[in-house]
Amino acid sequence: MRSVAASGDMADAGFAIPVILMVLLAATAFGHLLHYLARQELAVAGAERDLLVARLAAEGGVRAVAGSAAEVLAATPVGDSAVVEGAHGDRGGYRVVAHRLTREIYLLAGEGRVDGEARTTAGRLTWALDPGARLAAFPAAVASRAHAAVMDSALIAGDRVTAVPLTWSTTECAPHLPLADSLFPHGSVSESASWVPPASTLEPARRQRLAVDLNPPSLNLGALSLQDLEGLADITLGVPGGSTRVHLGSGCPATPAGNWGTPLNPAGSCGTYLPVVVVRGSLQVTGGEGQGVLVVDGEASFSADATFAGLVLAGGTVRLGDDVLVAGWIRSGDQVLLEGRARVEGSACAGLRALSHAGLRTMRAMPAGSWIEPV
Amino acid sequence: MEALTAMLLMIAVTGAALRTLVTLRHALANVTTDSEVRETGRIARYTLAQELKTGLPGIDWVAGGDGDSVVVRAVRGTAVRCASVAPPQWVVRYTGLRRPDSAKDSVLVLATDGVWRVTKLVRARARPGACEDGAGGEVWELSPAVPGAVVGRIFERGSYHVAAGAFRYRPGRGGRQPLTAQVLRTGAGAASGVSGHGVGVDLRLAFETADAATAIDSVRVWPREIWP
Repeated sequence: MRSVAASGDMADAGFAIPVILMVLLAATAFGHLLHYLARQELAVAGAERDLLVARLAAEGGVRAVAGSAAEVLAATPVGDSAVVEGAHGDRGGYRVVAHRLTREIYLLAGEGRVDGEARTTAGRLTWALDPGARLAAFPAAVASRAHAAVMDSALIAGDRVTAVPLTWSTTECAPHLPLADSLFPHGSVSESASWVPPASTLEPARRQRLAVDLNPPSLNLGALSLQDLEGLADITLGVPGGSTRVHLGSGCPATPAGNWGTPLNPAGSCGTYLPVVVVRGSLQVTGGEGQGVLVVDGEASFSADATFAGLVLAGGTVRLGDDVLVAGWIRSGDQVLLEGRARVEGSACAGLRALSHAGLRTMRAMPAGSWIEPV
Repeated sequence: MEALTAMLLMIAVTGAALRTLVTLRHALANVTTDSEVRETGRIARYTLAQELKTGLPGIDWVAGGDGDSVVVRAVRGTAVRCASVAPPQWVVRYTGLRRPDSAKDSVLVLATDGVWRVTKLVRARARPGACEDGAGGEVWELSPAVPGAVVGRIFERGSYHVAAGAFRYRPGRGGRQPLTAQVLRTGAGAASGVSGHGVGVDLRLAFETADAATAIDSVRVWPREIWP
């Protein structure tokens, strides 16, 4: 009897235990599945984190090089490249190869690394003004969209390194002096277009031709738009559609807006001051001296004995009155009129000095699309 | 009495076991679905962000009028000039997600004058030592030729869709291939969609939850150029 009772207990126990074991097995399997999924999610999240670190490192490296290495890269020959490496946070790092594609266009190819291993790349096309390239794009003392009219005993001369009575040192222009040989007096900007692509192949919103200044309807200086120029200008005057009258005087005028440097006294305290001046609307300069880059989005007129050295970039007509002297380059979106004994002394040196302004040389993202991947 | 107790216990244990198994099954289905939903969202967001971020809105990509697609120039590679030869040939160093294919690829070319132009890839072949530095390169032929070309971006026409329950890619005029599991609520009146406002794209992914409700995963994809 005892053995029968014992076998009955065993039978009851044998039923419950397998059921519980099955449930436990199912729960264990489910637990393992959850654990597997959790580990998978963790692995994906870790990979995403590393990719993000690498991407930020690559893009940060590209930005760092664009922001700080413009001068170094400007010394790199066209077709050559320079490598810049750096750290990004605790685990990240970057390696940026800067290719100089043209005199003014660069490709910064950044590689993002995590724990020393390359994970991703990011490339950016950048642009930095090269004064020599600006001159080479259209090597004329006077360039206009319409025409240049020289009246009375006015004169446009090319090929002057320095223009009497302007006496700055030719040594500062020495690296660019060969360019001065090719500077001719005047011409129309359209002549510089050696190859005009069919309109159908031009990208909408990517039509700006950086090699040529004065892309209508708004003026530009390479990739620098009027807004860009206004942003970096030392002096801004006028309002759109308005008219501004300025008498520059001589020496260093007390008002900052009236101090455009002293080209007639290069050894003076303002002799090396070459500001970027942006004028909205039209401008009348009624005398005195100035130098640098003068950007006017309307008409620009000079009268009396005004003297200006550098680059005059105007969206409208540029008019030079009797005894006015401009040494350097004039770029007009309309026409250039010289009256009386006005003179334009085409001077590569004067233009190059003006374009050496630090703000102009800053590296910028190429307009109409700068980031490229894969690279 | 003992038999009755044993039977009651058996019923209780079996019921508990069945309830546990059903709960585990539901939990397993939920976990699996959640995983697919997360994966679908991740793939859709990452893919769209990658495709759109280096393009210009309205030019390189346009959100479809029916609210469920975005048409893109899908960039697949970058070529950089590495030697000077006369057009129409162009010697480049190429980096890409795949090989250039003249049958379906076009090239967006940047020339020395700073202008981007679209041209057709006629031929592309690898040539060892083609670059000026002796490294391997490729010789491409473009039509029309682009004098002074310095950078080229290979692209194909494609479109991304939120349709037929999944996030899909349609290369050219081909079929719409699913990139994710079919876990999305799509179609007329469904919440999933792709729409363009301003310079970005709104991606809305609608999923059905366990209690038959709809969960929305919404994200705005910005092109890279508008960032500083």
